[in-house]
Amino acid sequence: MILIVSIDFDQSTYEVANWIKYISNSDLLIINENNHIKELSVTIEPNGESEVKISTSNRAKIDLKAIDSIWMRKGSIIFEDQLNETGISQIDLISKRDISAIIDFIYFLLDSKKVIGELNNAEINKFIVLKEAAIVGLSIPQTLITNRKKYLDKYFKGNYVIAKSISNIQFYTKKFSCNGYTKRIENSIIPEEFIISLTQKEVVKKYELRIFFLNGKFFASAIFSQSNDKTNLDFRNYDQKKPNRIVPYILPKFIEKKLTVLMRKLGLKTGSIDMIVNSNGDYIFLEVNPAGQFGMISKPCNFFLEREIAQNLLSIENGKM
Amino acid sequence: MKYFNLFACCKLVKGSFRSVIIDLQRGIYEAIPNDLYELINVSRGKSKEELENFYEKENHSVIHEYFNFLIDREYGFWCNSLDEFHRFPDIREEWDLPFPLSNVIIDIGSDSAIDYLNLIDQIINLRIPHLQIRALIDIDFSIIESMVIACERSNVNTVQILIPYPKNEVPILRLKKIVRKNVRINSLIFHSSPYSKVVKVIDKLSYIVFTKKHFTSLDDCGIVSKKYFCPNLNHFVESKNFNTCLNRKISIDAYGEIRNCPSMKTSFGNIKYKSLVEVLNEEGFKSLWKITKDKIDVCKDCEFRYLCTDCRANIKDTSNIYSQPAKCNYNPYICKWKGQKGYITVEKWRKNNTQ
Repeated sequence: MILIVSIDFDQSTYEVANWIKYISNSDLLIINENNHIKELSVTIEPNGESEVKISTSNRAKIDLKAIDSIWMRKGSIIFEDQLNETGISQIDLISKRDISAIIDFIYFLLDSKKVIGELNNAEINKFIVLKEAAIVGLSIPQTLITNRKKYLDKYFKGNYVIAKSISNIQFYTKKFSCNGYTKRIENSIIPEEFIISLTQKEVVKKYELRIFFLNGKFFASAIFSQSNDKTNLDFRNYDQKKPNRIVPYILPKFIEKKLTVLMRKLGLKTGSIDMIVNSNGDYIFLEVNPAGQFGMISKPCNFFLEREIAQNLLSIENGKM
Repeated sequence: MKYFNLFACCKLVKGSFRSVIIDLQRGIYEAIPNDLYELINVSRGKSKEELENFYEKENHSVIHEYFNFLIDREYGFWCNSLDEFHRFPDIREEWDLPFPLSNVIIDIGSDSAIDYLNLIDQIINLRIPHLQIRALIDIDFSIIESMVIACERSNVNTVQILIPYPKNEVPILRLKKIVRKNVRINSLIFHSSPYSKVVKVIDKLSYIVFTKKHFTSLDDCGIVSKKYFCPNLNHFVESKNFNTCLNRKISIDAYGEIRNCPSMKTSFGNIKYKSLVEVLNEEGFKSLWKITKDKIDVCKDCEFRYLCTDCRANIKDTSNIYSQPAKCNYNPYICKWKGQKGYITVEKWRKNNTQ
């Protein structure tokens, strides 16, 4: 059986699931908010063995032993109890902690299976990633984490500076929405003191690279976002009328080698890597997202990444490695 | 040294008289002279300077004009080195879909021996994403409604319903309710209506359409027109590999006969006695799926071949399955549509040119 942990209405999940069903007769379980865990039984036997049985909203009991491979797409395993809060904050807090411990234990048990993605789903630390990237020999933008203008001025000496999110932000309130996109800092309106921020020297790019990495394989694409004012700092400010060019790209071997070492160091089997090619043709590493979007390069470049992931999950299953 | 690179999403297709450049990402296309097609091909991997040496001096201004045009339209860009040029490969021209069939058409008539709910069950088991239900005669809408409801929680993604304008009043409120409730229905079309009207049910998702057009036979099928051109990657790569009209399609007519397409003569059996899976596994059912435009007479010389639709049911020469669609009114040898000044048929043109 293949397990996919995801969020509701995720297009990539739906497409990978279709490929799995098309390629094989393998059983498939998708856990998300809509199909969360309702019943649970976990044993820890005196001999050290464990047995986990769950049943979800729309399925009969499943023995975790039957799971051969897992794709941690997005989100986490969800328990029905998590969705029912008592309203008493102390109790809800304890309940949250307890559930989190149980889920951690389930992930611990699943760790022996073949997994694509990150089991514990911990967000990756951007600072550690940047430092490791520099250590393996990749170029990175000059980076400063600060909350004072004086340090900005001193470090960047009047160069263009961008601010980007430290963790992945995206939320909506009734009053405003926040997307966490990268923006250029307008030096004239920056106050002396501000919230702690991740700032980098702006890199003048020829094009951006969005690279999907899956078990040692690279699927790279170039995004021509520079010529469009809307997208030159962050291509996610999509221009619907004149969409940016997204075309397949072949990475130089020396970059692939360094990225492979970096991914191994970070313990990532998959992820979406962002890089920039500047006007001199240098490769500059920006970040890696363990659960990054790949649909936006898969379709325009005809990569069939959804099928690739399905095959990956299945070959692992067939091979019983 | 500068090297011109066409964006991989901009495809060149050479026709007998002119070429076309298809922008698969932005969904547009435009005709270009074959000279420009040749220039782009020759320029691959050659620097601007090398090109200028390659061509006579008197051609240089035309070459500059051509490149300015390509850059202006954002069809391509300049690379700074040969190494950079080679980092941009072509888009793989593969087509695939995670379903054994993509479209199914069910025609409903007055044959009460057909079990439509069982048919829907078969469609769900085959995970066919697109369903079209058509009625040639005024039928009880509740049959269709029960078929759509049966699709709930299935892989059937879109349902299109085509029925005649009823003799009695149209219960528009009830229909709107049904369409709104069943999100799979993207359009409910009344043909042979006394008026034309579009009723929006859910914005950009579902519509009820009244059209004056009559839909009493299958003659509407197989029309070739610019209107039906599809400048997108999926259609482009599918037409390179398959017949876009027949590939992964199936239909069941009002008498239960199972065909690849409603207009084709060959029946692969009757749904009353045979399952869709049995037909799908039958030798011969997929036999025409690989007739690409490159194999079809006249089409293979046409610059629009990967944009266009096809039809294997209505063809000019019924004894030759590779013959041109009968309803094509374009002559690619002179680049004129019927009605345009100077148009002559392909047949006439061929006669003139073999003499």
